[in-house]
Amino acid sequence: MTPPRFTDDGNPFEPFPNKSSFRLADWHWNHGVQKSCESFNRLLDIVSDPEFRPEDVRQTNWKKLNSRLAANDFDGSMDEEDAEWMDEDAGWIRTPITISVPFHRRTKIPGPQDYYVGDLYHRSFVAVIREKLAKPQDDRQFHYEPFELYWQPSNTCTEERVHGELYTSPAFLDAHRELQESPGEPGCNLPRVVVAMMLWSDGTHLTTFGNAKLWPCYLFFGNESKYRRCKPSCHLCNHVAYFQAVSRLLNLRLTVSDKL
Amino acid sequence: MKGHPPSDALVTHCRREVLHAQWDILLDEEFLMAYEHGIVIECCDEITRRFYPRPLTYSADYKEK
Repeated sequence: MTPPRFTDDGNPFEPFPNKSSFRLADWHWNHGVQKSCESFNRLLDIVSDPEFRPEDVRQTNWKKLNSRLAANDFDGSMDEEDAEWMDEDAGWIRTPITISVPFHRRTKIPGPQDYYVGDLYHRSFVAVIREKLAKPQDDRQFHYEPFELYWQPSNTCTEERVHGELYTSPAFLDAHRELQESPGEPGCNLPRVVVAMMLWSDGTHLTTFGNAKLWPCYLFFGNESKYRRCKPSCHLCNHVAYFQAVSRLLNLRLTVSDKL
Repeated sequence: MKGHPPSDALVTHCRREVLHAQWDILLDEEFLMAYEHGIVIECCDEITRRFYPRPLTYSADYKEK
């Protein structure tokens, strides 16, 4: 956790009132849910620091602070439906979806009309990619370059191309080659890397009874091995959006407005 | 309830428009800039690289109902 920003009164630990509160919250949120011996030692480091002032922490309104930390961009217009999104990590965006619906010439107002369908809850792809590449635990097994994989069972056999990972596939190799051969940004000599996005979505019923449905969209990175991607404990799956389907509400509205 | 239910063709049209409208939101200006010009990130190995996002696979269902 880094202190997010300076405020007008020059407090670098905003929204925390002071350094002691910031360090305690950092310990609480950022070093694993289960506290280990190691994290206990970290706590000792904090409270034994000569700069740590118990009186600073005593006044801190933790409940209010924690809800500010969980705040999303669409806060301020929060209704009951949004409340459940408050538990998610920050970074979810709510964008209204509007489509153009044509009405035939025998309707009262013929021609295309804009319809508000609902809201799309989503995260920025670029933000998810930035977050991904900042994770030290994933960095060592993130393939920045694709390669060809061959298998030669014995010296007498010919080499055989092995297919199995996206980072050894012709599609990734082609994308990489095309990128290296492109002119690139003027004056930039940085190594250029393909981020292989693998998008996946599947509508799912949440309950056996009733019609609670979700249509999530996930993002995996093909720069990582499928053997790690499929392990939930590796946390390589990123939720990026929850799609809206055409609702019965829209069907109903179309039915009614047909004869307006 | 007044009126006729929407025709199958109209519902099909709306379903397609709704999905495309959502992809239009997801593939925003920020993403298109990153696609074209890359995003510069200092990686955990302390090497700075320019990353170009490329959607290589899309495995998805499409809501028929």
